[in-house]
Amino acid sequence: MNKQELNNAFESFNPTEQQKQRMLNGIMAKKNNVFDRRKIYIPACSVAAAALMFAMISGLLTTAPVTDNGNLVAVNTPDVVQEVQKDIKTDEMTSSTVAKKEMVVEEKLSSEKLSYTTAENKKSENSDNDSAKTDLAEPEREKQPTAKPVPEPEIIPGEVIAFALNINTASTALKSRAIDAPAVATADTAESMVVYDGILEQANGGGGGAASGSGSAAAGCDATYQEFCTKIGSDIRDILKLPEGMTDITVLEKYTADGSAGEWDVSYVGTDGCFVTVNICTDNQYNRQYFENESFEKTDINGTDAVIIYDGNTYTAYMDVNNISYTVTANISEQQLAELLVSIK
Amino acid sequence: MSTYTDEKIAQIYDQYVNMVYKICLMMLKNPGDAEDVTQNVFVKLIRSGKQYESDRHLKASLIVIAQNECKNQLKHWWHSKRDSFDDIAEPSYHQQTADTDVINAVNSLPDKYKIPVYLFYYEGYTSEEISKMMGINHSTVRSHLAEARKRLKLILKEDNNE
Repeated sequence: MNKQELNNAFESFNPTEQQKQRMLNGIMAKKNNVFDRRKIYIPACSVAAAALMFAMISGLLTTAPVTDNGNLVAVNTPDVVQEVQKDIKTDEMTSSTVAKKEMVVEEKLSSEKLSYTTAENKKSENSDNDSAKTDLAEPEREKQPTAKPVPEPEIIPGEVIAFALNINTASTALKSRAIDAPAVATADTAESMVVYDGILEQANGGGGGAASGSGSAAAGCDATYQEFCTKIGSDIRDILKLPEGMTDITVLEKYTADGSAGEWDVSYVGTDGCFVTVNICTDNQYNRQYFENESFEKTDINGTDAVIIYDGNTYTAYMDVNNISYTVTANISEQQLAELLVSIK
Repeated sequence: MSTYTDEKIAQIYDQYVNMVYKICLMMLKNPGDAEDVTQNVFVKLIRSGKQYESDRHLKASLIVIAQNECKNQLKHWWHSKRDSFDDIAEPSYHQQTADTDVINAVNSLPDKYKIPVYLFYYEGYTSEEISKMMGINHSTVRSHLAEARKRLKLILKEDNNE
């Protein structure tokens, strides 16, 4: 690949003429607008009115019945919300149980429906007369049985059950559960051979004795992965919990600008096209901008904050452990990512 | 009141829309979001009314604004509402003019490598200028460029071996 091919690749990202015109139209339309259409502007005095309306809609206030002269009469005022909320206040429970209770409340709310009918239809329904129903009457909905609370999953000591992460871009992020994971040794990982620039390199997944291949392969390079591991104190490949079937393709020698490596990529590929890259950097300046930005939701990984972003195909996770910066890029499942992040120590 | 006339806006837009859109597309990986953020970048510039010393300053500002707006977009909950590539009528890139393998290789790079590669090789910025725009160390930019080159080489070598 030469520079021209690279430039052609970037040229291919240019917008089409249609897109350009569309964007220009949007810019011209927005440039004079003071208000952002995505925001909802309401005067302060309307907040109380909005809260009152919300309370009425959610059924916290009972609606007064009207006279029997054909006006709508509300029946089946839901009081289950009050009961469940009372339970929430009186019980001592963990945050996960609270979340489950809230889920139960939501399920009940969706199943509970206000049945509106005219006074005349109410009488006709009682007498089972279908011809008296008007267009406005909705069929009376039945109360759904109360959903049973979801039982707590059984926790097996040592097993990672980090089944939910705070993924940025998801509209309903679940809270993470940080559970200590045992260090997973990769000593039994099969040796993988990587062909790079015509030189066979032996990428050994076991221990800290990562071989750098033959002596001639190491000649001429500024830094080796072994030296980098010595600098940061460990070889992360010994402890990473990876999906099955992944091959280590980490480059073990490199040329650096100043003769020493402050950064290294530990890379794996799978047979089904999945990949994992862990960028390890002694300079955590890049990752810090994500942690310092309070708008990014953080995930607790064994007591360490991580910022995880998902673009629909690939996860990017930023994490600092013991002043070493880790950036994980992977297109694996959320569960596999959680296990991998927990294994980084 | 903005100091930018409609003619000036159109001129700046024609000059830099490709660059801004490319940065947004590389960071957001979604043409719809990239279009929205590109609009926001120019609207932000127009509303600021700021006059720049030179085109180079203006260009650098647009790059910084684009990156920040993309980060804002990533953390906005509306970012979860997206269309898949298959649902979009027009192609997200011009397949006729570039090697698909190279495009995929560039796309597979992490953002921290992709943007410096674009700014260095395509826009012609030095690593020092890139470090200022991205808010990272100069040596970090250089190592990112080296890593990106290595990774592109490895990816394309593997693609050729398949």
